Amino acid sequence: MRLKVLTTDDSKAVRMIVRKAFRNFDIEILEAGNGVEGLAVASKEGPDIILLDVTMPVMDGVEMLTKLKADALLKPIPVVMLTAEAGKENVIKIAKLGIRDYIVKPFKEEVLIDKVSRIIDLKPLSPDGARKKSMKDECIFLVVEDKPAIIKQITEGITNPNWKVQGVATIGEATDFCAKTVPDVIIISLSLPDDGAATLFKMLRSQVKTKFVPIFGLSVKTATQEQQNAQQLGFSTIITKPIDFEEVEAKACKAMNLDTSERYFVFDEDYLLVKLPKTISQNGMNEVSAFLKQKVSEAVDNGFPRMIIDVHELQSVNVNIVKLLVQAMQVCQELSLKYQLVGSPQVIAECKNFEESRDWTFFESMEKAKATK
Amino acid sequence: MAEENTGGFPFGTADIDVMVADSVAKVYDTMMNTKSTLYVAYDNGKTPEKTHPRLNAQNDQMMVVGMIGFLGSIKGVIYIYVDEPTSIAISGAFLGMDKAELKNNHETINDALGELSNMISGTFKNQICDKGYNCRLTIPSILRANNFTIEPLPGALHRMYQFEVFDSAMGLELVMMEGD
Repeated sequence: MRLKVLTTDDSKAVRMIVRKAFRNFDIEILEAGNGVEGLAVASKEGPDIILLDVTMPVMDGVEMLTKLKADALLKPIPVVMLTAEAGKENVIKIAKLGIRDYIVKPFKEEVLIDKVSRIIDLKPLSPDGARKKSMKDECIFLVVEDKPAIIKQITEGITNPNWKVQGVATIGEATDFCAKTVPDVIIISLSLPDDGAATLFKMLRSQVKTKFVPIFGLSVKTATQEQQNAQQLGFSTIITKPIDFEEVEAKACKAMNLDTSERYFVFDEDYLLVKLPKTISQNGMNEVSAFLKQKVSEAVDNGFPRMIIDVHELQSVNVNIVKLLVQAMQVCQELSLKYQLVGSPQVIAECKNFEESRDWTFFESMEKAKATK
Repeated sequence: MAEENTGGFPFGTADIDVMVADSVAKVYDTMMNTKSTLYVAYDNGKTPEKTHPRLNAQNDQMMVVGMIGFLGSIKGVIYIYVDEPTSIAISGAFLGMDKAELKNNHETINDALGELSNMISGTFKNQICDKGYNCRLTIPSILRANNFTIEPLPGALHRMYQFEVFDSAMGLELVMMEGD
C-alpha cells in the first residue's frame, strides 16, 4: 500500500512544490487548503504524515494541530510544520502541542525529503509506477576509482551510446556529484585508500537520493577477502578485473530492472520481429526466452497477425539455439499467432543436423517473408 | 540634517536595509537557486539616486503586487511588485514550470507571487522577532494594477527598495511602526 503525505497549506504554490519534491517517490500526495479541510482529509484518508502550515484562513495550523492531538484516532499521525513562522515564542508554543519536526520557509527540496524520510520509509517509484526504463534511455554510471586508466577503460568499454560514464577519484567528488545528479549505477573501487569504499557505501546508503541506487564493487579477481567484505556490507554485486563488459552490461540491466527486450524484439508494420544477433550467449538466450510469452501476448493483444523469427545473421546453430526456436514456435502455437523463419543458407544447412529442426521451412530474406502473409 | 525616521525602532534604516536584502536573497537562493541584488534603497517621498528601467512609473505597465501584513509588537505591511513578464519568470523558477504553461495562468502566478511575498516577509519578520519584537504574519493577498501608489502612514517607517532579479527588477516597499 502506498504511503500518504497530506500537505495542508493555503498556498497552492507550496502544495505544488511539495508534490514536485516527492515526484520520484512511491507516495500519494493529498492536499488541503486549510485546517478544516486538513482534518476532513486526515479522518478520511489516514495519512502517514502531515505537512502543516501555520497561517491559513478558516482554520489555522495551530488550531488544526490542537484538534488532531485531541482525537484518539488522528493523534498518532506525525506532523511536520512547514511554515514561514520561525519566531521563538511561536515555535515553542507550537512545539508544545506535539510535532515531529519543523521546516522554515524558504526551504530546499532536499531538506523536506530528508526530514520526511526520517519519519516515513520513502521508496523510489517502482517500475509499475513509472515507465520502465529501456536500453534506449539515458543512464548515468558513476565510477569512483583513483586509477584514471581504469576509468578510461570503463568509459571505453561501455558501448551503449545512451549510457554515460562519469569518473571521479575521491569520496568527496562522488558525494558532490550525487548531490547534484542521482546516478543510475555506482561502481566503487574496493581498493580505495583508508577503507574508502565502505565509507562511501555507508554514506550513499544513508542518503535518501542514493539509498536504492545499485552499487557495484570493483576488485581484482584474487582479492576475495575485500569482495566478501563488500558483499556483507550490501554491495549489489561485484565486478572483477580484468573487466568483462558483457557481464557489466548484464548486471547493470538487471540491477536497474531495464527493459532489454528491444535488443531482440521489435514491433514493425504488421509483424513482431524476433532477431538474433551474429553470436548470442547463454545469458542472451535466457533473456529472449524470458520475454517470449510476454511479447507474443502483446502482439496478439494489439492485433499483429504474425511473428517473424530472423536468424539469418547467426554465425552458427547449436542445440540451445534450436531449443530456443522450438520454444518460440510453441508459444506462437499456444497463442494462435502465425510465425515465419528467415535464415541464411548456412543456418538452413546447419538446422538439417538436428532432429527438431530438420524439416523447418525458411525464407531466405526478410523481404520475401514480409511479402508472404 | 534631517532626522532619520525609523518608526520608533532602536535600529537604523541601514540595519533594516540589510535585513530586507538578506531576506530577499535567501528566498531567491533557496527556492529558485538564483541571485538577487539590491539595486537601490531610499525613503518614501525622497528622490532615488537611480530607478531601474523595469520599475519606472512612466512605463504605465501592469504590475502584479503581493501584499502581506504583520501584527503584534510591530505592525506594518510589505508590498512586493513586479511586471507581468517578470512574474512569469519568477513563477516558472519557483514552481519548476515552463513559461508557456504560465502564460495567462493568472491563478498560478498569483499564488506563486503570494507565496514569494509570504516567504520574504516571513524571513524579514523572523529577524525582527529575534530582536524582541514578536509578531505574526497575515495571509498574503495579490492585486494587479498600474499606476498605483502606496500612501505613507504618519509616523511609520516607509522604505522603498528595488532589486535586480532574473535580468529584470522587483520592487519592495516596507511600511512599519511599533504596534501594541
